[in-house]
Amino acid sequence: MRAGLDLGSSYIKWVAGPAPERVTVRRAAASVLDYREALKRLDARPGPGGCVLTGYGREVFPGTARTEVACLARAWAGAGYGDGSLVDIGGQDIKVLRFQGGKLKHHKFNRRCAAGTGSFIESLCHRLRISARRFNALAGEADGARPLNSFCTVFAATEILERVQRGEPLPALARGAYASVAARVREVGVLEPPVRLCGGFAAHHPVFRRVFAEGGGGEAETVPHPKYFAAWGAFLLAWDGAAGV
Amino acid sequence: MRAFANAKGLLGKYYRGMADGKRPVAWCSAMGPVEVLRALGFEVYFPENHAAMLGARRAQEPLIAAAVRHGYGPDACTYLLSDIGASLEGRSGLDRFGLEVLPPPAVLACNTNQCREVLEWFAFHARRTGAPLVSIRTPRPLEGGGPSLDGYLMDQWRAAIRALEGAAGRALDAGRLRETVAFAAEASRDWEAFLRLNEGGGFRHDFGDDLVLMAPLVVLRGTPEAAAFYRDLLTEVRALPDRPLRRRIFWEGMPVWGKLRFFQEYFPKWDAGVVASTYCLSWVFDLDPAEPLESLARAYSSLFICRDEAWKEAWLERQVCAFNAGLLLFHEARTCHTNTNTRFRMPERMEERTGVPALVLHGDMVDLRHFSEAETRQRLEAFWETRG
Ligand code: SF4
Repeated sequence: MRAGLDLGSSYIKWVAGPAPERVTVRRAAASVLDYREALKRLDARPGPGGCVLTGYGREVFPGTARTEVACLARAWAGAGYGDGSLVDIGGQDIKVLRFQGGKLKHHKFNRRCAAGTGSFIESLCHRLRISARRFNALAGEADGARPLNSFCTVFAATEILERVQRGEPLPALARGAYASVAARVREVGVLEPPVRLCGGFAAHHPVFRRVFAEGGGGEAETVPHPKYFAAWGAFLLAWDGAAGV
Repeated sequence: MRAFANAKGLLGKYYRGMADGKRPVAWCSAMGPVEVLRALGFEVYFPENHAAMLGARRAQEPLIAAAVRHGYGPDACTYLLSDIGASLEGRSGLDRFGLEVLPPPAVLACNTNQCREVLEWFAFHARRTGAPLVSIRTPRPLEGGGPSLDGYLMDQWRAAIRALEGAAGRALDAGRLRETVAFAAEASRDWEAFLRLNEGGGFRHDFGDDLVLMAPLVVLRGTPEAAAFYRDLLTEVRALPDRPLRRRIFWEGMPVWGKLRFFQEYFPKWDAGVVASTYCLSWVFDLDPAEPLESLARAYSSLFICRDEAWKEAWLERQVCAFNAGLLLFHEARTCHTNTNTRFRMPERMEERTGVPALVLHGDMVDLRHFSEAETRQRLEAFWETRG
């Protein structure tokens, strides 16, 4: 067995399997204060051999550590994709990777601010006391998006609450919040089609993909198992370096 | 290096010299008319140096808060905010040099060649202390001014000198000015030669070293002690062997003063090092003692920071090439607009122009709330793992 472990800011993801082309385990747990505790819940045992670690917490455990960009690039190649762009919306950042012939040509991150990242919507859900699933369903019900004026995570939640109290429909505002994220993504870097989405945000908020296309982002497809894409890249890297991991 | 101990000794002597209160003290902006002030017999104190020290000691946060409480905007330059905050709170970042209280200014002198902020900053101290403020108003960016601009700048310098003579109570002695300019020119020439030892494949000192070793040029420019220091430094470092280095970085923008150690420990783990920087090369002045005033006016309006984008890009291209850098690392300092060159797409243009990759780090020279070690490492490592 070899494995990839993505220790992200919101979730940790564990991908393992007996051969590079055979993934038998895909599990995730919320990254609470103690990564070890979360690992126990996942029944994941990252050892110094056979496992590549990635994500913000990649150096918490001994072993081979790789950045998410390197893992995402490996996953892109592993999926057999050629030209195009990969958008990874994570808990605290947005990454845009551009590929040519399957090779990474360029990558960019958002600026230092959580606005427009996964935690932007997460914190809105928290303030509105609704789940991500419900938020996504609401946004799916709306005919159109009502744009939010606030860029800041805290003010955006207050703005939604105020506007709902003034009688505006929550679904259109939820869709507006997705439009804010989409605008932020388009700001990060030039997107060459085909555009593919990955990361926990794409997994939990499938309606986002439609809002992204409506807002001028172009058609985008979500990669299979989007939440595990970086962890899968780490898993493939663990197999690439079979002898050396 | 012996030079580190020498620099420390020199700085200690410099601050202690100010503490004894024997000579009147002029406060001067980093790129202000320091040679003129010295030639007029002033001790010279630099609030920016104070701010950088507060940042390096990580004492900035409550001081920035004090300045913001007083009414300054939180996005204003954090050098300005932390130094003004220190004044408001009666704090000194130089207490370990015996300066429990900052030396009161007899006069304040600044040049807007670097930014408009220094003017507002010095105006605060002028209001607070009642000392006269003399400012040279250099417009930016400077390209295309022609002879009328040269005439304007000379007028600015002459008027400033008249005002400073009034504050000093004596006339500027041409011989002393020439001598001061000669010392500054000598120090600057040797400093540049020291920096350029890293050209080609050379690596004898890194950014962290340079930031310590440039201190005498910042605060003692125009003195024989500073000139001697750089002469010795150059001799010492010329004799050192080059260290091997795989990843050569050119740093563009302000330092992150509170994170110097982080970078100095982090870069070697990746066999990386900052071989040169705009910041340190900005302390190279083309001064000519044969025409001291004209060359001062020229040199202090030809700084990198005064120039337009086209000039900066051509200059950067030459440096990246000369220092054989494999990465042009831009620091986007949140609160220093003039010394941040990422806001008008320069990194992308530099990459297109030179073929050398450019990367942007986000931070600030003083306020560490704008800087994240994890994010910085993430950006650099993603780059090194995938592109080199
Ligand atoms: S150049 Fe930047 S850091 Fe220096 S005083 Fe001006 S705004 Fe502040």
